[in-house]
Amino acid sequence: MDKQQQNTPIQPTTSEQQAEKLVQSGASSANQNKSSTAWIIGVVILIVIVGSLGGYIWMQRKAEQAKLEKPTAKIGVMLPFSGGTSTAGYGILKGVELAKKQLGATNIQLIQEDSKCDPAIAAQAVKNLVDKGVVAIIGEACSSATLKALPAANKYHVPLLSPASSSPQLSQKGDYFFRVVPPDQYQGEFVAKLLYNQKHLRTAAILHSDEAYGNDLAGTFTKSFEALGGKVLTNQSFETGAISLQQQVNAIKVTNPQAVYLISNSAPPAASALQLLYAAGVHVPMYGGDSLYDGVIASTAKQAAEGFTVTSFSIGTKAFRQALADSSSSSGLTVNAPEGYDAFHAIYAALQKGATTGEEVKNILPSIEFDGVSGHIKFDEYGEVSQNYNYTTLELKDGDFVPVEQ
Amino acid sequence: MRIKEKLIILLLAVGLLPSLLVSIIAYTVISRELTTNTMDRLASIAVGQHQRLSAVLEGDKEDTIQLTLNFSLQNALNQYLSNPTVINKSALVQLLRDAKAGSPNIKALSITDTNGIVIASTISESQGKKLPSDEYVVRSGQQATVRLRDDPRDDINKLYVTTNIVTGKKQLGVMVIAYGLGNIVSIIQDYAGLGSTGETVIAGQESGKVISLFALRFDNDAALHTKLDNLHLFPAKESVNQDLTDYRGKQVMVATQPIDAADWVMATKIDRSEALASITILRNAVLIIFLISAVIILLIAIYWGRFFSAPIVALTKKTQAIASGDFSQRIAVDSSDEIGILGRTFNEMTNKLAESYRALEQKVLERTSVLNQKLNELQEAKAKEDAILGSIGEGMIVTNNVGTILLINTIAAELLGIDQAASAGKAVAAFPLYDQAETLIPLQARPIQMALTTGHKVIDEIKSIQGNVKRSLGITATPVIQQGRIIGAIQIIRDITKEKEVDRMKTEFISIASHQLRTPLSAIKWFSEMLLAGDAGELKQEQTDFTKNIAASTERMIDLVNSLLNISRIESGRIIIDPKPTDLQELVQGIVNDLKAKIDGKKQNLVISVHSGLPKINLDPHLIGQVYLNLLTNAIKYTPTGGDISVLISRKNDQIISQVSDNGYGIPKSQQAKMFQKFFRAENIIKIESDGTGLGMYLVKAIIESSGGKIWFESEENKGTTFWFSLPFSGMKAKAGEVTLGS
Repeated sequence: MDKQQQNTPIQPTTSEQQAEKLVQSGASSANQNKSSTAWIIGVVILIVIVGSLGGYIWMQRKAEQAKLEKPTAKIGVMLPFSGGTSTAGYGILKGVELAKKQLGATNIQLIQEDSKCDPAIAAQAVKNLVDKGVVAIIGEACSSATLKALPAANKYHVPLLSPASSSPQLSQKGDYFFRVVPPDQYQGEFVAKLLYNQKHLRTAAILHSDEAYGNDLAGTFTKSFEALGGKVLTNQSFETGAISLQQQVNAIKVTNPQAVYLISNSAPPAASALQLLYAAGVHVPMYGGDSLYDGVIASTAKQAAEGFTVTSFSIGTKAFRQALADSSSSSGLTVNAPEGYDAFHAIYAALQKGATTGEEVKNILPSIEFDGVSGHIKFDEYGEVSQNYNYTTLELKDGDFVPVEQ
Repeated sequence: MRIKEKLIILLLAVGLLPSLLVSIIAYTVISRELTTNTMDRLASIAVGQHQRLSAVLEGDKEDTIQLTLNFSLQNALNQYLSNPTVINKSALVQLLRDAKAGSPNIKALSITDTNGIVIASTISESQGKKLPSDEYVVRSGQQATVRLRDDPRDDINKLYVTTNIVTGKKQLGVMVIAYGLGNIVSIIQDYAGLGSTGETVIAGQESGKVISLFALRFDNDAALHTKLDNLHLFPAKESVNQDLTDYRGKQVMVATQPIDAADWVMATKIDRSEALASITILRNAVLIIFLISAVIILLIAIYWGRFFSAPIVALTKKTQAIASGDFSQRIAVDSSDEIGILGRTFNEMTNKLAESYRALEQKVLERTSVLNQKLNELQEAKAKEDAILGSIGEGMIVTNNVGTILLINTIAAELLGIDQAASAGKAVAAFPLYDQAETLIPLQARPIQMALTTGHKVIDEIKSIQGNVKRSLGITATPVIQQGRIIGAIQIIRDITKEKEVDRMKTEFISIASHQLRTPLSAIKWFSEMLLAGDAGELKQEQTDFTKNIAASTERMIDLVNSLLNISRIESGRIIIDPKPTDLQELVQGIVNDLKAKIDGKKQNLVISVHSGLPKINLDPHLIGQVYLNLLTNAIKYTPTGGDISVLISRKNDQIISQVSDNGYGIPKSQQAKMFQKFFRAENIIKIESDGTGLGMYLVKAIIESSGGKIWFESEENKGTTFWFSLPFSGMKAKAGEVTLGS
């Protein structure tokens, strides 16, 4: 193509030439625009590709990370893992761990602290857990230890949710204490009615440990039993860590009671007492408090313990007990495991509702409500589960605690 | 659709279809492969689980069988069976308790006899009880039967293994051992490789229903409860199914394995949504890649569509611009392809077109200037014409055939009191005209209207009244006739106020003069008559002749003076008009009777025809009688002996038209215009009849016009004359004047 010819119209006038130049210069600038537009489009496409691929990969990773990394939280498990009450500690821990497993709470880290049912170290145990960053503490099992731990929990703003402490002294408004078991006045009343109304027993002797739980339960039982018309012939107590109970057993034997009510926050002294009573020939129905729902009784007292009847807080639903039974091949009782299960469940529910600090857990807990394995869980202003509590009665038969149909 | 859009759609189709196809194929192939892989993995997990479970069950069975083969137990049992004492029984129970204590997984042991009655048990209260047959009978073909059931003692499910205790060929009894489920559950609850939804379920059949034997991952309360019918686990067979619904209603993939050791079926399953999550990711990835590529292809398509169509679009725009007349447009040619050639060719064509257009325009300009010049000339000529017409001393109105004013000059407008500018195009009838008596002239009686309807020239005198200024106007309305058709009329208006005034003064003078003349003339007449009567003595013949001459001349002069007097009376407007209901037939007949002698003398034929049913008209019979008398006298006088004379009276609309015609001498054309002038006598009749004052027709016209009528005539020399005059049907208006016509 001849460029010259193209630029020379047949007989252009001056104005036409100018017009043509204008048109052509416009066209060439349009060409420049076009090529720069192509560049821009190219760059935009590249950005779109890279951006969307990158975004896609990032989103995939994020989704996987979210799957793996739920926000973690630490829950303290402050229980007796050694000493005479450790059965309860491990029983509760089994319940806690089963709950953690069944709820899929892989983001929750349990931090154990052995508080040994000891009021002397309970406060320090709370501080240790707080230092480790827990937002709630499941514990203690013993009322006496819990009573000492509570001021520390209040101080550090960390809720203390007990699966077993049943002392009425813990029923205070507005503090950091919660529990999934009823206070002992109900248990005392329940046992009194069981003896007086169902078993038609009119006299009883009490042997109890001399600490908050023992004293309170002994007191409420006595009050209820005597209100019904029965008579508590003697009220023997022993110090935790006592070496021999022979003296107390003798004192009971002389009163010749129709039944003996054993109250102890740890099982070994009760097993010993059963052996002593059996040996002394006191072959009357033996009853025990919830803490004595413990395999130690059967394995230690053997024949002497046959027929020993305890009242327990809930032993849990059938599915729960089955799961618990299947959770390990070893035998052994799982005292307060349902309460441990529900305690964990309650705290987990609070965390699921967005609580991130102890104070938030404390504030959210009263709004938590669910059907736990031990019963309906809903906390009132005292931190109590307000419910009509049905205690379970279990009897030792052939070395096993077997629920008694009522 | 435009080229750009077509191109874009084409490119999209070409680009997107393969991309879509590749996406679909890739997705289909890979997802099928992934599904197969997942199923294989699930099946292999199921095989592993099956091996572990079978090992546990076979182990429990083996433990139970081994226990029955225990020598001391067989011995103790034999002893008890041969001698069932409490001691032997206690020994047996102790052996069982030892066995229980030795294995933490054993929850209870019982030995029954062959009838299922418990001989010894670790549970003291069950001693002596009879077990149901399905708990102590070993199923045929099996060494040991495994059952899972609830232990009513603590309401916990346990695994019961039943086997026969045999020595040699003899069955001693049945051993039932309850095992805890921990070992099995720990295998089931091992979810390794099964993600967050997978699990191993074990189903058994109970009374025809398929139930889960253990708690399920998502149903803690499922053991011996939940139906697993949906998974199609029975009849037991090894299979892999990828499309089943589980107890939660979720779509699952399932690998089943029969557990022969216990007539159970194990199924390892996982939710499809989780197992095939990678397929979902793949699908999303493919979709995103497809969408991205679609966007890219779309952008490319748009860009290419524009790139290819831009020169065509530009070309189109330019051609449109050129088509709309902008020849300065040129197409930018920057390519050497067909479009370039097209553009160049188009530019050349445009140049040529522009050239020829310019030439054409030049030519048109030239022609237009000539035309303009002509137009200017024409306009000038018209202006001149208008100026000439406008400058005519007389008023002039030109109308078309229906009386619409086409032209009116300044003087006409001024005389008639019309706004010249506003009058053009209006009907001439819109402007009022008054007669001499200052009454409004009805439309059909107006000069232009009459000229248009009759086709005759109409001459009239009217009065123009503009406030206090009153003018007498002479009007001549002439029809414009072209090829026999009246196409309009021209009305010439002249101000005759002054002439009228002079006329009036003249009339007054004549009246006075006549009046003054009559007295001496009367004296002359009387005295000459007295002389002829001999009152002054007998006259000689010559004297008598002279006196007769005097008397005759005097008589003629008196006639003349009377006529003049009558005219002056009418013209001065002092005449009394006294209308009364008049029968025109009677009136005319009376006049004819008076003239009978003259008619008979000339042997003329007179016909009178009056429109039948014509009522009496309110007329002054004296005045109108004078009109008929004069017209008839003239007709008789100027029609030769034996001629025909007719009087026709008829009604036309609101006019009474009277026609008086004869076949007499007629009036020469050249003298017809002077017909109604005073003292006019046509030349042809003066020769025939010397007697006549020339005032008769003048008087007739004066009477008719003062009565609100008109008079006109047609005449041809030697053929005759016809006069018409009209009178309003409504009659004449009374007028209290001073004088009457005298004779």
